[in-house]
Amino acid sequence: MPLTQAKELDDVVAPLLRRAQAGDAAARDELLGHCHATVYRWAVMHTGDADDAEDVAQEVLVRLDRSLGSYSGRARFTTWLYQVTRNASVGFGRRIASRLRLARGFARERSAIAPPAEDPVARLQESHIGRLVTGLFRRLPAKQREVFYLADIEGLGPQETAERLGMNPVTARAHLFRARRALRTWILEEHPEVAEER
Amino acid sequence: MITCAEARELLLQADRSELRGGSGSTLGLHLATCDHCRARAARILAAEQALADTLLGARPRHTAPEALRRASARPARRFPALRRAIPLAAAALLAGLLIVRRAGPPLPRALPAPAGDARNLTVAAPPGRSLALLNTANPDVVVVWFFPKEQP
Repeated sequence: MPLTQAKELDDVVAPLLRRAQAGDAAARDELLGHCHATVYRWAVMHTGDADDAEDVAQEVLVRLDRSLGSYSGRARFTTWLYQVTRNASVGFGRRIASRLRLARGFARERSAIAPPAEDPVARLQESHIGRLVTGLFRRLPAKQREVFYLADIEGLGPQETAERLGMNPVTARAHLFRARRALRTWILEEHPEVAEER
Repeated sequence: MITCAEARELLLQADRSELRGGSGSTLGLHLATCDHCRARAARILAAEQALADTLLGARPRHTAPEALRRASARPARRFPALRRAIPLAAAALLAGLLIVRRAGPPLPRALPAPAGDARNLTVAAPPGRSLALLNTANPDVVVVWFFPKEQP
């Protein structure tokens, strides 16, 4: 199935949605297929981890499958879907938080016992610009990360970004400026090599 | 015209179209004439493009039908209401214990009668306290117990 960008998703799913809500199983499957990749990317943005994003995307698909009938059409479909994904990511984060704390504690103890060996392949991957900048992106506070992703990565306008996040456009703009300032400062100051690598 | 220092500040918040130098903004005009600031703008653009490529290029490992199958194969969480009720019940129990403890130690219903040498002692209880003298197996040791007076 071709990659459906989030911006196009509303147009693609509109006819499928009506049919799926009327009980057309094929339309429902096609709709879920179109939403899956977008939901997964949003989940990656929220969780910062590919495996966690898979779990969140699965959960969202199940919720979507069950609650398609309750979508009233008052909000844009992508706005509704984004909220479902965001809630699922937050819930997932809460569930694994305690497990993560345990794992981190264990990892700290283990690293105190034996320092990690140098892995040349891992180091090469680490130096890749995409990984570097993605690492910096994940350091942004959640709100700034969301606004930056929607506005500067997905290319939504200020009004649509604010609508999707349920916030005032002025507030969204302020978050965007803070996110850009932080990310660009880190890029320029901490990783002067990123431009040369490309 | 703006200085390089001012341009560096603007670079941090500008839209990407401005960083490309295509706009007629103050920053755009500066970038058209300053190699150094243009290079900084190019670094930011390159890094953000790499970020966009990475994030938008992320793909789930499974197709939607597979993902749904895997999700339905996962064991459902059992007794979700009970899982919420247990911490609440524990918190209520703890609160109850704390309230009981704040009420003070239980008073003895019947005090043992002072006996032996204790009867010859003269001890005054401080205000608001009652007093009990208790003999022990050792005739040289008498326990003097001050306890809060019982409220009527």
